[in-house]
Amino acid sequence: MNRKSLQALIIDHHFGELSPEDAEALEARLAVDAAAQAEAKQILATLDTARRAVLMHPELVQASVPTVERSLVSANGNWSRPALAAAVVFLAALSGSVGFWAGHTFSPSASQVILPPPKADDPVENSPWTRYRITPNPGGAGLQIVRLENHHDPDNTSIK
Amino acid sequence: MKKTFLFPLIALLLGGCLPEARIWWAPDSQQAAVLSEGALYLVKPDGGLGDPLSGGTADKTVTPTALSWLPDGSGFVLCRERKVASWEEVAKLIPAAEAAPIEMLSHAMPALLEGAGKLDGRPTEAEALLTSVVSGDSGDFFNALLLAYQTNKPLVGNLLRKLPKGAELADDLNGDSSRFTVYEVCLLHIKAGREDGVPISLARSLCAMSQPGVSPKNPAVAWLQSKKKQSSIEVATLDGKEHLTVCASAKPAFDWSADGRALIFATPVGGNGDSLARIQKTTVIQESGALVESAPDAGTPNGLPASVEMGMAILPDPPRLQALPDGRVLFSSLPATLPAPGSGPGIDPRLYVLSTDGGKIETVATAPGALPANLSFFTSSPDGKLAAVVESGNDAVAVVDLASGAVEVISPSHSGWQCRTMPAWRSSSELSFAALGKSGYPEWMLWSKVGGVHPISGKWPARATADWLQKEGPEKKSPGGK
Repeated sequence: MNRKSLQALIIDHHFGELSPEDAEALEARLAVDAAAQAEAKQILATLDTARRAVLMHPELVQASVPTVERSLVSANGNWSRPALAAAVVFLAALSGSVGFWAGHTFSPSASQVILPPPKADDPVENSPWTRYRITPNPGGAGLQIVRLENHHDPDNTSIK
Repeated sequence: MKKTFLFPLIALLLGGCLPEARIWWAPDSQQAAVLSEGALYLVKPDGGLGDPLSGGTADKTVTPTALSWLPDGSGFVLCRERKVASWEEVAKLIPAAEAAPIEMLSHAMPALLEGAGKLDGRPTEAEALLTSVVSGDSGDFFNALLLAYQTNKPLVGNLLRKLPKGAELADDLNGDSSRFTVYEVCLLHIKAGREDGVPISLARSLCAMSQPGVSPKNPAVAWLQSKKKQSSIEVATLDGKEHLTVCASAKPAFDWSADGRALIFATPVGGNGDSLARIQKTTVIQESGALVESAPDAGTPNGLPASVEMGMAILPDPPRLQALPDGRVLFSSLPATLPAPGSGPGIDPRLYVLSTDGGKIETVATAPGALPANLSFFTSSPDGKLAAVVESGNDAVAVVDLASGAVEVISPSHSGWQCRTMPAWRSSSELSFAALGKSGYPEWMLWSKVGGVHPISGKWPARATADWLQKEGPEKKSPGGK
């Protein structure tokens, strides 16, 4: 069992999502594997900290669930799955989005390609505006917007 | 039906550099407030730049970002950002309800950091859930991280350095990102061309505040407040005593109705990024001048009077809509009929005018291709007869006659130059904007039908308007090497 699978099982077990058989197997593994036990302890401690934070301040996660109307904390005080997911978002943000905070980078998905100006399909000859054309994405599925070069006569200012 | 509209794609293509509001003419048209090099000035056409306003706006830790004049010209409401070094000071400035979650999250931060390092990425079984749950706000996360770091640098620093690129982040927390940003909406009175007293704070927040708009008829101001990639529309009285959230999730554009009592805005039909939006009008000020009160029996989610549904449209990103003096609403949209053949609707957005009651939409009859593909940057004249249009892809400026659809290019495009400044109407027949001057550098220009175009910033240092346009490419043209 790899580390990610183990982590998944520990989290599911924590929220009672495992079948009795799987839960038994996991507990047996944890009983004999010190490393797995340490892993479980670490994960549960982290989740517990986040759980307490959510219990005390539900607004921390502000879990906006457009199609699932459920409260963050159930009547018996257990953490609901949306709340779990919201908390895991924090973990994901930490492990996956650190680069954003460090670099503040943004990579547009649409490509910027300079093409020769169109000759026949340009409805207004003297428009100064940047023109774009929709083309199939050569790298795969979907569409891309490509920028066309403009050739505008600055002396002709009326475009109607 | 899958909505594959092209406005968002264009927004991605254009990236983050867009024309910004930097010029705000006073109601008497005799002076303007301008943003130059991060400072705020009060200037007259053909006059000098003078000294920036003090009273906090020239403080290097405070950056003014946008303003809206009071109807009588006695001052303006200003949005500004303040860099604050300590959380203790931040906590005194912002509402307690905003500070508490940050403090709580900062306590959990060491355990979260340690857990993130251990988890080595997202647990795979959580991915399906993550797609249906919106992430916690990244701004809250960063503030909590900075607070945790300042509270225990050795511990949090060590935990960070174990994460991918965590060392860079730790360095950032010691450098450029070592301060909290507090946003503020404040009222500043003006007398004899200078500020009269200190700014009066109307609202403060850790959420970005922008686009202030003072009601043309009542003592109230509305603004956008952005958090978690969604914008709310807030309104407050100018004495700061009343405050109302008009819409918790709106497209980032609004305007006051001509009577100054209602706000016109748009809400996405689907998620926050949906370009399909409902345009609506909500009354926020009573006839008495007081803000409307939230009533539990109003039958609306926020307890406010029900909105008037004015229309539905595909809006550009960023969206823009403006109320005209006669009560109609000007907005830009992409006409589309689905299903459509081929690759879908083409990129030919138009300007539209929505009737006061929302019962009728008229297209401004511009020729195909006469308007920019990303039709986000237009501003109507005070009399509502003309609209100035720019785009971020080049530096051309055009004026559209909203009745006839005739488009006149009043300033041509120049190869490699791009607009970064929204035009501003001085009066219904005079438009000011940024354009390349004879010097080859950006200057502030004034256009009128009769007088043509001439520069009005001739007495300013060239660097004052250097970033009002942007030179495309890695090497930016800089006046005088300054």
